Amino acid sequence: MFERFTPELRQAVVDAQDRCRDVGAEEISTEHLFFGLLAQHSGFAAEFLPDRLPDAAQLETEFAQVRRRGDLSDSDTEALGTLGIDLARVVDAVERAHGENALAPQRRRTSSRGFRRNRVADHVPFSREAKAALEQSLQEALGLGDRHIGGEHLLLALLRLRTIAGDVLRSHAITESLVREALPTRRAG
Amino acid sequence: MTEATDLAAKAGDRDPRVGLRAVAALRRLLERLEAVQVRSARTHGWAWQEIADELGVSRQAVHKKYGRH
Repeated sequence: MFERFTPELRQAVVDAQDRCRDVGAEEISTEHLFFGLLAQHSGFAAEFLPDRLPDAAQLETEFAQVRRRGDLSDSDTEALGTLGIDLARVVDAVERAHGENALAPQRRRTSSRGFRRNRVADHVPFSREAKAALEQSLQEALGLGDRHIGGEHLLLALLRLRTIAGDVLRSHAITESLVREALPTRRAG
Repeated sequence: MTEATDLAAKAGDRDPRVGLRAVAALRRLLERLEAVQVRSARTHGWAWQEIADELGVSRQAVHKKYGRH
């Protein structure tokens, strides 16, 4: 599947891996994919996203808030509500006992010299959500009749699957419809 | 609520999609909570066996999941 990625999307994934490694996260999440897309200088995401999003510092704050509640999405929060579970209260209770950010996915500490410990397989896995989004991006491309999978397809996937990155996009009024409208017109048939 | 909206609400509660999403979300929350508690126990000097006993799993399982890799 990766061989069908546009160069920009391939680079976005590489950048996502790098970012994940830099922050010491244990999995490559849709947050990292999001920043990977944002880092590109060409392709759909590079043209579409910057004008519609606040600056990186603001985005980092928004994702930090999501991490604080354990990287659960808005739809997870809603779903827990149907069980009578108020996620905000759970986070509150946990933080009161264990400190701020206790529920956030923990990050590895690099050694004091800044080198990562050598690992036999220094390969960080994708999170379930990130994996699903990458797979869905193929479906989005197929659905549009596109031969290559690009940033636009990943964006659609992040939104459709109600991922945490999709939540952040949506909070800035970026919806699936908006993305579809912005796509270059396709040849009919 | 009228009887119709009451029935509709109940039907929503029985919708498998709603229920399954809730289970999946709860499972994600559970994983995070488990990580918090295991970490806390280790900080308090608990042995893997003690943690495993409380969780009702094997020592190997909890060590594999949370031990330094």
